[in-house]
Amino acid sequence: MVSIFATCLVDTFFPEIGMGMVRILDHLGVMHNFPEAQTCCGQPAFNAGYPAEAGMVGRAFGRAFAESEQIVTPSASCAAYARHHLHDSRVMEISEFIVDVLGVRDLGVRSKAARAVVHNGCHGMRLLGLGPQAVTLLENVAGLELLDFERPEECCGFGGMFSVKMADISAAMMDSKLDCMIASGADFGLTGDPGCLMHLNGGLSRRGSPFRIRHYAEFLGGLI
Amino acid sequence: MRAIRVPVALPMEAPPADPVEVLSLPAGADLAQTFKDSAVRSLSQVVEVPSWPDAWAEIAKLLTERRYRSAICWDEDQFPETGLTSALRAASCCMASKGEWATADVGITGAVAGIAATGSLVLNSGPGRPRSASLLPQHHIAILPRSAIGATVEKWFEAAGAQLDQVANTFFITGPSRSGDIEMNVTLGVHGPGELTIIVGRDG
Amino acid sequence: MTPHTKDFIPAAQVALADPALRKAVLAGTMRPYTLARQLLDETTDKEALRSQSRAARIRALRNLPTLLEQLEENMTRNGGKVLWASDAAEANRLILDLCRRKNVRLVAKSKSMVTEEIGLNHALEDDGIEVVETDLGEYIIQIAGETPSHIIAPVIHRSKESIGSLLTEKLGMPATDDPSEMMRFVRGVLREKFLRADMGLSGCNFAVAETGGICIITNEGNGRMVTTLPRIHVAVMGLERIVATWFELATLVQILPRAATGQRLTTYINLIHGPRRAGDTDGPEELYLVIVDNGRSRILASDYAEALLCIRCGACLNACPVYRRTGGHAYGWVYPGPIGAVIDPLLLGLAEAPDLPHASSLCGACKDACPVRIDLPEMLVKLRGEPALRKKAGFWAHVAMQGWEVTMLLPPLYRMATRFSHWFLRAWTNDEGWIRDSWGPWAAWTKSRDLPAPAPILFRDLYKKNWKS
Repeated sequence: MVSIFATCLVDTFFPEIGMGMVRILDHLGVMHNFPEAQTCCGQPAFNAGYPAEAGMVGRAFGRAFAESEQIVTPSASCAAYARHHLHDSRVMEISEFIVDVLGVRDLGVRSKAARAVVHNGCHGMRLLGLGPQAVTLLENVAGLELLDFERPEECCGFGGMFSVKMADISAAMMDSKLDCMIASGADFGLTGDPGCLMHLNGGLSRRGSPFRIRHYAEFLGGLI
Repeated sequence: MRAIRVPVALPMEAPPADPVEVLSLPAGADLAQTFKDSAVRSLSQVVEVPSWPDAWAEIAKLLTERRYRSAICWDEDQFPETGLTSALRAASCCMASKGEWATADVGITGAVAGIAATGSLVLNSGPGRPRSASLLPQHHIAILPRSAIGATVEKWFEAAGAQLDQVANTFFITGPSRSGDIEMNVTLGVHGPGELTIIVGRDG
Repeated sequence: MTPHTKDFIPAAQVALADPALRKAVLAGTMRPYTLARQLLDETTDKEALRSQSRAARIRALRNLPTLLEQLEENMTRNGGKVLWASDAAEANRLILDLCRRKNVRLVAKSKSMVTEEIGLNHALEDDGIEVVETDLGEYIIQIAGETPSHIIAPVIHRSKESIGSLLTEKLGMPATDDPSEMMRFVRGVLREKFLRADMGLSGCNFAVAETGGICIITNEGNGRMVTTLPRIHVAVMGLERIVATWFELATLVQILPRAATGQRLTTYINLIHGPRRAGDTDGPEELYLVIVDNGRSRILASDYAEALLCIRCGACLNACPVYRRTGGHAYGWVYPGPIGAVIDPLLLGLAEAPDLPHASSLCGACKDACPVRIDLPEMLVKLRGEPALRKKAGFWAHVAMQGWEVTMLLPPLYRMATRFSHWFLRAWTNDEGWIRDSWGPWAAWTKSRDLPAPAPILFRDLYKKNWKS
């Protein structure tokens, strides 16, 4: 039995990502529940320089999941925060859970022929070593081809409050990330971070571009 | 003495149990060959000669080819074997007096050591060893006895570090002077020599 | 150098709007960044070496007073003189007094960040002393009347064309776009300065306590020129730039160029133990080492002592996506990039640089690139939480944060707020669920991105509906 930590962004803005994740868990026969007392892990406040407020919310997170043995989340950044700052080793990012915990490398799904680029959120990549797990799952999707792009490890510019406090710099980072992704010739982008996704898709929508970033949990869940 | 004593909120972290060398060479590595490869990689020219007389002959040839007229040199007695004066004479190159250093064509020195892992020369200051010889002219020629080539920077410091204060100036030279300041274009010979020739000689 | 650190946001906007600068800085950071990664990967054991380098630096900071005393004692025995300066003004006064006493008219200077920090050039120039920067990049900066925009590559923000026309305009160089020709021209100009200079001024990459020596590394050779030709050599060091032993230096002196420029070693590593000795043919007659505190003891005693582990390699600048977009001038002082965002507020005071700790997406690329693994993101977050900076954020930011906290602590309120927002924002939401214009704190977001509207149904409600057993 795993508990789902949807994260505030997925819960309120992108429920389809959560649904995709649940479909994958069902597909793999993993029992799950959703502790209703959950909201946020506290990361936004912590990064903005409000450790006391973040601490309160972080402790509420701990209480909400008091009964859980294993927690799975579709946000690499929140998983990194929970593990590194809340010292909660139960929290796993979805691709990490599938590949490293369940040992599943191939979901046995196929997609219509498409080419994609993968953007790894910084916290998951640098604090948890995430990235290879999702790539493993995606490489095993029949019909999907993963492409390389320029400066893949560079931040997309989201950064929580940074995107508002330093809006112009954040937008410049976003633009160069989008330019690199689109220049790869991919049909769409994939990521495991709802924050990056909200920021990048917001930029694409503003550009009027048809290119979109999708969460790989939503993408993979949709193929089942 | 004005250092202020304050408590430092920085916990000590243990270094690796066995100190790690930045670039260690495999046991039994050919030091001379590794030195040559590393030096060439850092844009030095390396000439290998079988003996000291050959080293001096090589220098005479180089001076003649390049038509160098004046040289800043280590004193003859600073080299393990004589031959400098006759090499200069053979090439009609004169030894620059201190007043002429600024316009000398070439610097000729020995070396305290060579570092195989990085292709570096180690030189020092002292009587008869002008620092300017390896600095002012456009071309620096150094003679490095094969036996003076050590494996790594760490090994050299391990052996020599404690005696470093015996001389005023010790310096490593790894290739010619360079700069990447203008759009990362590597240009050679900015202030120091634009050319470094290392003559590696067998001893005896 | 007068700090303009308060103006980070407008200065960054100016930089962002300059395509030539953007192009130059991106190319100028990516190259050393890529090379540095290769050159660190090539080592025996990258992570062990970072731990070893870090341990050496921590050991130095924890024993700083003892090591500095040892350095002074040994340096004095070697014939050098050690001068202590508690702040910038004192350091400048000491050096100026020396210049007056020794009748110094021309000072040739190799690259040194701490002298930029204390504004030494101006202090000397105001007294009629000619000060010439001799690092190629620093010299270009000096004749342009600019300040360095990178710790290692001071002129990273300029294209070769703009450097060429600057040299032509200011010094009459025959017009060229070829960096080699520019370099040869500058070599000629500076050679004459080296030969004429009364005093050579240098920084100090590391001092080594056990023998009382200092280490200066350069690629161009100007670090050797200014410590060899003029009759007086003055080295200026920040008081943290010390290690205990030469063996520790052996690691650091190799890690530094690998991280900085992607070289195995810089061309010249210059180890100096006092002025010329009896019988030496050349070298300075006098050597002074000026040890500058200028706020460092205060940092050492604070929660931010880790910032003093820095060996000034510039790797964090090259790795930083913010620096790659804005370049160094936007930061408004000597130290730009992530390390600058930490030490500028610490050295100048938080009120002088309130925005710098926010000039990071906390992506962690700086920590990854740092050869001594300084946890820059953690220090940035800690700085953001300092009361002085939180107060600066204003009353409404505080209220918003409290409101956020209460909402997150009460799931029913959180759910209701989301549902309400969805309903309330319908009029501004397009068919795809995006909001184009917004107000208040969100206006900054929608300036360049659309904002997603909250979903009509929360995930928790969908889950309950579909999976509640």
